[in-house]
Amino acid sequence: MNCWAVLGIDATQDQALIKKAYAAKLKITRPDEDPFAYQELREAFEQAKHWHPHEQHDQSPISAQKMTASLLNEVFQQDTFSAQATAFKARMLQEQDIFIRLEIEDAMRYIGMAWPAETPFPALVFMAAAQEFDWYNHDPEKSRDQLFEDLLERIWIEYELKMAQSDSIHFRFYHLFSKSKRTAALMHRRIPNWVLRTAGFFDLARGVKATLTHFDTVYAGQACAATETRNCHWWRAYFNETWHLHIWHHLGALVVSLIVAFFSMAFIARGLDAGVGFGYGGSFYCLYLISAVVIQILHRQFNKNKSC
Amino acid sequence: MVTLAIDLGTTNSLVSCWKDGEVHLIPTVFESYLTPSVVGVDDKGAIITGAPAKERLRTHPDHTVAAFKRAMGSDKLFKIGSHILRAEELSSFVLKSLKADAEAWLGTTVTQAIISVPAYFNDLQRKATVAAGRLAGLQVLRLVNEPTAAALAHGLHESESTFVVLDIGGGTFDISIMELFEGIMQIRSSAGDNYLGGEDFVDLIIKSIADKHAIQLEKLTGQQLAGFREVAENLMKTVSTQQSASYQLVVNETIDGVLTRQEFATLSEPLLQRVRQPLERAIRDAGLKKQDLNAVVLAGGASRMPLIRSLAAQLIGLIPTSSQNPDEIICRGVAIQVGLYERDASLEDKVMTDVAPYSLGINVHNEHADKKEYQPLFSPIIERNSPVPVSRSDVYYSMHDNQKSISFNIYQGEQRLAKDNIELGTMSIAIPPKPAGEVKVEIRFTYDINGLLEVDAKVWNTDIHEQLIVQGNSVMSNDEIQARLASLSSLKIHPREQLENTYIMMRGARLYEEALGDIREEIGEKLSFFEAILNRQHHEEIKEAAAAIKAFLDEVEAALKV
Repeated sequence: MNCWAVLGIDATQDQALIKKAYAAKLKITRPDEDPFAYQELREAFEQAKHWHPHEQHDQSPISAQKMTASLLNEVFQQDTFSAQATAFKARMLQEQDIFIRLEIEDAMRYIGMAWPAETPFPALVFMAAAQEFDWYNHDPEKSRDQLFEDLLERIWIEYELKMAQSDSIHFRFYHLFSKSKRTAALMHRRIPNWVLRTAGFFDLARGVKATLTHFDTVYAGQACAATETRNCHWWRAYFNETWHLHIWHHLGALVVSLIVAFFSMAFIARGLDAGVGFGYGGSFYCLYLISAVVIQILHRQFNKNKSC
Repeated sequence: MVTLAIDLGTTNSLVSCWKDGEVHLIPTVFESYLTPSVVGVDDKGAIITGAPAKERLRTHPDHTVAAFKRAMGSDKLFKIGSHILRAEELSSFVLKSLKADAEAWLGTTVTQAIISVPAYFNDLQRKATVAAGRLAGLQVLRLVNEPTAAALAHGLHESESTFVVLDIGGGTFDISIMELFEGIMQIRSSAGDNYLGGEDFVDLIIKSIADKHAIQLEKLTGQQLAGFREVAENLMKTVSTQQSASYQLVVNETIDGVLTRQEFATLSEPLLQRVRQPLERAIRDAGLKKQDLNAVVLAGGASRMPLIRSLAAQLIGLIPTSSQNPDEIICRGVAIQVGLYERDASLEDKVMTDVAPYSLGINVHNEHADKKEYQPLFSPIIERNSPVPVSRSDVYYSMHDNQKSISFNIYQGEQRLAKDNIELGTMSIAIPPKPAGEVKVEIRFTYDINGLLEVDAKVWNTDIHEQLIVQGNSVMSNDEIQARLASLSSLKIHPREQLENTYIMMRGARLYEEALGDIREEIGEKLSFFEAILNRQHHEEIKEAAAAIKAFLDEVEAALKV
């Protein structure tokens, strides 16, 4: 609710009118009876007194705070993420005069305070809102990019607190966010492929992907672009799924290797034993790997489907 | 149920009530509205308060104390006779005597009161005042700022106006700016000085006379000092109305001298400077200019000084209005506050709003500080002159990795370094172990309409939550109050019915001391005669004799006044 709604009059610069409206409201909102309502009324009064039609003024913190809470309530009645994001943006546009040009820290605080702990924090929505409403940063030394990095970091801190107990996929995703520079790079698709190839990053990357696939419609393009190009390679599937997931692939590879070994035992043994020095075991292992990859590729081709 | 309106002053206290849509000041036994804020012990060990005690200030300085309001909220102890008492307890005797006067006048018992305090009284001093009320058997429903009360008294029958109240009492100096519109009485800002008042001007005169005649103040006896003080008080009053005043002082030898108004003005210059600064701040905080002010209202006894009047006129460019008696205006205002509190029908369309005169906040780490000289900084949460009641919060971060708890102190004041402000309390909250800066604690200050503070700390996104209702160290706790109530009730209080006669005896004793020769002898004779009549306990006879001796003493006093 903006100050004029609190005072119950239309926007005006007529001081006498503002005072009259305030006096009328004050007589039914006494400071000793309803301190909270009085504080809100008084802030609305001070704001109204200094209102100018051609200037934008900083908004009263208390009304913005209250506003955010009611807004978020409304948003969370939607089921899907995209519906939430749309509702959020739509409501914010409606309440432009409150949300426009907030200091970014304040905006975050209001949202952080009102956000229910069990629901993911839509970082992307927040960033979109920041751009939309021109939320500004108090610190003139920081560029907008730096600001967003900070923002992500803060969002992550909020998140970690909320998710600390559950080892959910979101937690891992936001764990990634803790390294804000990497996160920013990821969001801007700047991470080189070779970084992702290093072992140990896959778990994380998988977490990111899983989370990003939650971001349907509006943000789906970004989400997939951020992960698909570099993560959906055959070798990724191979490493991820051969070793960890599909026992049938292992068994298949074993059978194939045994058969091939049986038929070419003498040849392989003689050739490799002399030339490379693998011995039976090593040769067999090579055979096993090659067959596993072939089976995997066949499997992939066969099921070429769902992902993105 | 009547609620008393009490102005508990440094020098004088008053009581009034709101009845039938108007203010009624309640007279004391001595038919005056003023009860001197003086407490003493009489020869039989009973506590006496008010006018008779003031008479004994001169004759029995070791058994009498005054101006104890200045020690409210501190741990200072006063010794009167064999009793050692705190300022709250001394104030409670004054309150009790006011309560007794009011009960006699109203004909009913009274248990509730609204008491005025200087706007610039801090949290500790306010709590001490409430404690004094409880010790006197009064439930303090509300505290009201003195300049606010004066503004109410002045503004009740005005319509649109913006005016400034200068309240210079015995010990404190307060300024408030009030704006009136549409029946709303809105305090825009308050400022002041807790340690500036009429008594300081008296101290100045004492010091200058002592310097002039090479009197060593430390070497004087209590009685001599009390006499000296009385002379200085009279001098101040005289110099206010005349160009110069002469004095006679008996300290080992008789000293004669003259104090001119010009001299007094030069002496007071540093004190007057201390009036200017809060005034300018109040105007600035209200977002006004001097031209926006329509009137200057003076309150408090010391505002009678022409020096103060001319300073006010010079600083603001307006002649102070003198429509109301400056001694009574505050008490009248408190009675209006009682009416507002009770929602009296005659005040239906009036609403008063006040402000918090101090900033309130906590101490925070100083990032740029030298490690050796670590000085925490003050971080205000509620800024001064915010309308009350008010509730505000700010967010603070942890400083060290795996920090286990966040501790902070609560301060009241305007200084940059936390230690320069008044500490009100300490609070600590456990936090989950996290890297530095990753734990956020939201600290909320809620300041209610009586000026009492509640602090709430909450760790974000957890259930960890702490609450503190600020109770200073130098303020009596509930248990202490209960304990003191028991011990005070064992103290004998001089019976009220005899007060009037005791007062005559004490006044006579003081005049006996001041006078010489024949007059002195006559006083002695009349006093002995009166004492004899008192012992006979014949009511009619006593009444007659009292009237006669009173007239006589008035005559003597007039004669002695030079």
